[in-house]
Amino acid sequence: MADRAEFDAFVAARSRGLLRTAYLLTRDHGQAEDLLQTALTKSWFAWRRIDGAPEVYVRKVIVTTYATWWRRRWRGETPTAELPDTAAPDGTTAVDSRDALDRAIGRLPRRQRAIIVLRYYEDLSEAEIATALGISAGTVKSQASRALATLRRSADLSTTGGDR
Amino acid sequence: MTALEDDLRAALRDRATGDLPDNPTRTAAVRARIRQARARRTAAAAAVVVAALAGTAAVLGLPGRTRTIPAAPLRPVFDRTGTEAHLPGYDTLSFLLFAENGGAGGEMAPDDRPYLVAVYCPTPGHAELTGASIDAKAGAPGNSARISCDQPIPGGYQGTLELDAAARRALFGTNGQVSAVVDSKGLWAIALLAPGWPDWVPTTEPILTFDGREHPDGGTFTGWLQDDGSIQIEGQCIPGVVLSFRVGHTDVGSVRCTDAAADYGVGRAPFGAPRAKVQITVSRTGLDTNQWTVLRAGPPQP
Repeated sequence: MADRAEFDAFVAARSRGLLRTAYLLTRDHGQAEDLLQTALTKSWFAWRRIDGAPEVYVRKVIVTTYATWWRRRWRGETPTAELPDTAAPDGTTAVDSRDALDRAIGRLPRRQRAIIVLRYYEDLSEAEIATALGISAGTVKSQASRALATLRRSADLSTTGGDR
Repeated sequence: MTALEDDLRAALRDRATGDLPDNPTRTAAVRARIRQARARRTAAAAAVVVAALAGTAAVLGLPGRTRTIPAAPLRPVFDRTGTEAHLPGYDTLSFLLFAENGGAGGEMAPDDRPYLVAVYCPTPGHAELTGASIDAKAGAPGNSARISCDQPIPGGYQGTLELDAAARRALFGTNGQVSAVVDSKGLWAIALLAPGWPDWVPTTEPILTFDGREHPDGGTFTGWLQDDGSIQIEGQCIPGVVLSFRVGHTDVGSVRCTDAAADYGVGRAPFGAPRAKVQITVSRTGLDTNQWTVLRAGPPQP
């Protein structure tokens, strides 16, 4: 019973932050909520065995679920919510470039997007991302580099500038 | 730190902190899912409809079984709790707890890779999978396969079943479902895995423009130039493949796939009208294989 109370308290206190991570991955509120609830349900069955911060464990389940089981549901689908605007951005404002960047993130392959979210939103290290995704640190590095290159060369981002 | 990385942090922060309503009933919803899981766990001996998995009585006798799948016993596929499945070198295509996800949609890989069905059980037992495919051409409703779940692993037991492409089709068809009956208590799990990169391109991606698995040597497909008239082509391939792209007589780049990553990207500076629709020709050299794809070539078609 103590476990249940602790788990419920965790869900109440921490799940909103985790929802944001799920939302950055799925880019859809409904899918993010489903992903989060799935991850929380899986985590409950491991609750007593979680070593360390539960949030880290649940986040890992979110990311791995997103990167594996989730993909079959999306196969062959083009997320209509992510279609680029028909009018080209003028690129003269920070808002334009940020919107363009947001759209470009949405076009990244899932694993690259997960790495970008974990690196630049969750501020995880390459080693931590490797652990979360179950891949090598070298793969994290190469995939992150490729994602950044994709974002950098995106025509949508042509006005955002390069390295400072 | 680069300007791009700064913008990236800002863009992610903006999206994450935007209008994202919380769900006040989430705790109750998760509790309901857990109760559902428990209820089904206690009835584990009953038939549970499971999707996306295949097995068949003919499986074990079918010829041509690939040796790509390592011989049993495998290393543990599941974590200590049976709630995650991971095997190095494999893609986890589906993962289903018996106590949840019943009726979820299945997926068939668009190639002839073998599959590995793995089951997790807290206590030793057997799972009887029976095909329920409605695909008259390829499926074989009524075929069944028995998987012994008796290999000790940390936290429980597992069992595995190899399926080559023919065996997979025999049970799945193209959209088949499977019902599973288990004879031991506890929360079972089933994972469907397929060998992945670097020997096979990843099985699924949401956008697929041109598939080397259908056109091994290459071909022509439709793409779009970017807003500034440049072109960007992205896809996946296994090490050793060389892909060359052109639009008309204009070379737009080539790529030699390496061990570094499955994903590749090819681009060329502006050379045409913004957002122009173009015919892109790709030719494959290097490793003689069909394991390459083009996932994106320009903006999605509105």
